[in-house]
Amino acid sequence: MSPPVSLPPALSHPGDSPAPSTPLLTQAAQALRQGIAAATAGLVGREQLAELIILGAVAREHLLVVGPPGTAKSAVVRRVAQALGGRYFEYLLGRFTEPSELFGPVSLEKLKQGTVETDTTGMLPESEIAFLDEVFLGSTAILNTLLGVLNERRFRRGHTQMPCPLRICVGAANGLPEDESLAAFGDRFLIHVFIDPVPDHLLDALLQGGWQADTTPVESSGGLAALDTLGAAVAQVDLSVARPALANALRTLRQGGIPLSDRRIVKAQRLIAAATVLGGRLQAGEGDLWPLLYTLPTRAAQDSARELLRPLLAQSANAHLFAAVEQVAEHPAARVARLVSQAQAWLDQTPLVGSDGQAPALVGATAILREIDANFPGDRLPAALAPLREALAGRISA
Amino acid sequence: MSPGPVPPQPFPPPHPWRWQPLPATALPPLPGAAVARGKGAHALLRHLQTWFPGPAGREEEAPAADAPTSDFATPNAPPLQVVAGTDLLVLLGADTDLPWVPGIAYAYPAYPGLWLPTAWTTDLPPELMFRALHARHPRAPLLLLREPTLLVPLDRPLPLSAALLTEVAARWGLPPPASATHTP
Repeated sequence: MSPPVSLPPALSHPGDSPAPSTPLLTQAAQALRQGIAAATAGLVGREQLAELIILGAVAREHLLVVGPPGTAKSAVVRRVAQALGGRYFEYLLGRFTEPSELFGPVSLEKLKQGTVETDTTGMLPESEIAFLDEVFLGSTAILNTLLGVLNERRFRRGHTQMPCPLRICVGAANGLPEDESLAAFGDRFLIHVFIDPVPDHLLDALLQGGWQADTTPVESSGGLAALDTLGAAVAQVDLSVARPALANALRTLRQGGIPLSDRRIVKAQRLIAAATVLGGRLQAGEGDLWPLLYTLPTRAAQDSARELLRPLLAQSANAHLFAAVEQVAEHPAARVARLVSQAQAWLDQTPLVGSDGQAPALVGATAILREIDANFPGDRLPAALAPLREALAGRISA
Repeated sequence: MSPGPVPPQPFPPPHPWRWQPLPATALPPLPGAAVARGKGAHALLRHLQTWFPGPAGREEEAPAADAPTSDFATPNAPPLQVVAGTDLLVLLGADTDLPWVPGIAYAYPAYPGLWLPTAWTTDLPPELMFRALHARHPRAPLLLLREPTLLVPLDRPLPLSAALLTEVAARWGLPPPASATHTP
């Protein structure tokens, strides 16, 4: 468990403020993008998870990550929390974990006065980002109390009732539960993401990156304010264009034997709206429907849906979430869009090598060129990328 | 009466196969190797030498036999593995660590044991390609390059180091670099 690192800001309410401007949304999304980059530096192949944590936090929906032990699940969540600067709570649940270990001990002082109150100082009810490893091992008492925290963001225990500033709870498990009651609890996590160990050819990078990640603390970029700016804008997103396409996609899934509960269908709209504001817009389109895939509860369902919805998902795009979109779209167009955006961003940085000799822009520009050439060799270079590639190559050679 | 020894069976006749680009709707895989040939290999070698501060390739910089792996011995260079041939340089590592120079190409593990250029595949499944190639060239993994088609065994890579680059440059007959600066 980590101690609190900052005071909780007041929660914003969607109806309290007028619609933020698009530049404001873009600025906030860019700040979160920087946080993602800082959090995943050295963590090989975990950008998707970090981006989905941000997506869930903006949508105020929770995330379940399923994967074998030792796949850096907790490291990603911890580093994202550090990058955002929020109060973080982390706990590994076991069969004998007591509720007080998560929610805090009973206050003896209050007990003497005849009331049963919980001292929540530094515990889950006061956290802004929470990570619960082996979440399905929690007792009934823990899971029931958690339901209130997750669904209503209210903590209720004994005489204690308090609002929770929780932006997102990330639960982790080695697999999905077969028990129906636990599956119902798992259904409260709207985003389901499945991760695997890094492939063999990335083991060297994993070793060095892990060493770097362990020894390099993540600097807080104060992304929590950006998170709240975008979170407040979610309710103001216009879904009128995206909604018919979403309905069609859901019909296609049902025809393909992939049902989705009504609750998840309705809540998927929050993720779509969150993806829209993270793209710097308030008008959702068909290209913003990609989070639907992550609401499907099993890996098999997600794989099948990726095939069934391939034409629709191929349109997926987001200016600030790249890995999560590409995992869904599996289409070169999504990659081209990202590369165009990133290439232009690096070209805007002048000079590539700073006066202090540091060259992060040069490294970034090199990475873009590498990805362009790896994806689109020779005569298959997209027209939108060709001039940017030439300009980047010229800058690097200079 | 027991049957006599089975005469050695010849390999099946070669099956015609062709390169084909990945479908326009397919997402190319992440590269796990960078490949340069000819002048591109020379340019890549020079580029790699700039990763090592100081006069690159001095013999006294060569790591001892029991020295740690190259990433710790040369903290400025990413942990890449090197396979070198005649005017051919292959670097293995994470996609984020692979270098870029003009004319470089990238490859990925299309099947355990068979690497192909990114954005390209073969009309035969990679598994069949690997089995056929491995039957004739019993080493693995193998890298199959195109234009011209070339088979490169990747089973004996060496850690990237200044000394290794110097040795490769010497075998290629390249003069030592004029100066070295660190621009990864």
